[in-house]
Amino acid sequence: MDLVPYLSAVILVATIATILLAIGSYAAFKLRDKRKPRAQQGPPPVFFHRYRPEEPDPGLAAPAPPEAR
Amino acid sequence: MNASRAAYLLGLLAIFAMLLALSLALFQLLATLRPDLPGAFVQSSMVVLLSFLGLLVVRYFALLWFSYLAHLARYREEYPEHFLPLVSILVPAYNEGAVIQGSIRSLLQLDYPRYEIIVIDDGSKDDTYRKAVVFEGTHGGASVHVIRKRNGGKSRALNTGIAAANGEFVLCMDGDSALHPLTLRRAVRHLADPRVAAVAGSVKVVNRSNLLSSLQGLEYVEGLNMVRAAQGFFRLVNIIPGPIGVFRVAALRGVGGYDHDTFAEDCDLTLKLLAEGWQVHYEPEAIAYTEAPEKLLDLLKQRYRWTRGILQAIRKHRETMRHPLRHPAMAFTLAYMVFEGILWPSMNVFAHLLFVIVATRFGAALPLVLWWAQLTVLDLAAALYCVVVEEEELRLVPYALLYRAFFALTIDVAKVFATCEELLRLRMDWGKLERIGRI
Repeated sequence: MDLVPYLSAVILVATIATILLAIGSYAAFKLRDKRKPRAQQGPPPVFFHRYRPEEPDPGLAAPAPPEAR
Repeated sequence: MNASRAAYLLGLLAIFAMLLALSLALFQLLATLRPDLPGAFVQSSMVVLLSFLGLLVVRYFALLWFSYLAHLARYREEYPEHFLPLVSILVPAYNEGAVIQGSIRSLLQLDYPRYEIIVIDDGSKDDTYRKAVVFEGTHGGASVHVIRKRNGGKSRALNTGIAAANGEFVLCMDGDSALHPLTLRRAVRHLADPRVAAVAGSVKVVNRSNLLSSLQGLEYVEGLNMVRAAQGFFRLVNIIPGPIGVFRVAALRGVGGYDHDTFAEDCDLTLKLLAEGWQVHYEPEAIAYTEAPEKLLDLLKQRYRWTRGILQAIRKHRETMRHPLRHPAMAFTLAYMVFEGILWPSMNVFAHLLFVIVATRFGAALPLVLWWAQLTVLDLAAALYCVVVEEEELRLVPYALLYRAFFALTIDVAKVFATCEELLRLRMDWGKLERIGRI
């Protein structure tokens, strides 16, 4: 039985699959690399937010001036 | 028959296997020069690839032969027994919380009378510092110091460590590596010779748990350590690996320490030392264990950085190649690096693409089979020799069958892309690998 045709077929298929896998995984690696900085940024630090009260908090309301005696 | 004699015998058998590979190459030369393959491009490409294959056979044969000579020379070498100077071990660590304690523990078990361990926490965002600082103090003959600095990269961290070192010699390693107890003792003895600037150690993969990491286990033994052993025969190791290198501090200061203008600072430093005329030795018994990436994308990230870093180092030192007679050893080293880093991966990818086209379009699959068979025979011979000489696991040898067909081709495709990006000078940053914590 001649094994060469079978071996040829196996190696040919393996080579084509490996080349496709290699190109695909490289593309995936670059894609992941590009996405990473965005993922690392996260929410911006809160101390850069300007505080804009929408409604006055009743608990924090300024005390009424003392009545004139 | 004692163990070392058996090792020699097996080494000789491996060399005979190399001769068989040579004859297979000749067979391939005859078999693939098929006159019926159409087109001048295909025919001329075949001739170029066959010539290149012949060059590869010579490359394998030369590496095996010189690493074998280096192995024999080790038994004739005489080292001063009482040369045991103070050595500072530098451990740069950035986000190595998962592995830093295992790494320090391995250092405290070194068989060496006097040494200090300096951990340089390079502004880690995890608990690296907290985990390292618990070891601070004296442990028998070893003392541990932990330095904390703002993040600036591995090269700056190592320069900080060199400045803080009290020893005449420093051992530079990675925070994710562990050392064999005899590593320091075996490496330092080379430095009794004042012409030697540094000693490269042997790196072994500690996690051989899946196919990918087992293939890397074979690659480190066959692809990296065999090359270093052969280069070590000429005292011209071209890359002192990051996980294990022992340096003479005076030599480091003479070349300005580590630079931070490449992504392969270890390769760059080695080239600087060679350019100054220093010798760089290889010590196979100075062993560092490192974690290999277990996922394909992590492996590509690592190889992308290696490839671009090495190309940056070659470019940085390219002036030497313009005057090969002034620095013949350095020029040869750089030419070899161009061969290994650019030429071989490009030719391998080109060969596979061409052979696939020839096989699918013209029905001639034999060239592809013979290309694979030829390189696999060479890899098997090299793997057998290296496994025997390094007393490694025999189970690594059969992986050579998959190594060429799957692993090397995948890595070479990534190398070709990385080379294109480097030629285009595209921006890159350090790809920090996720650590599993197997150390």
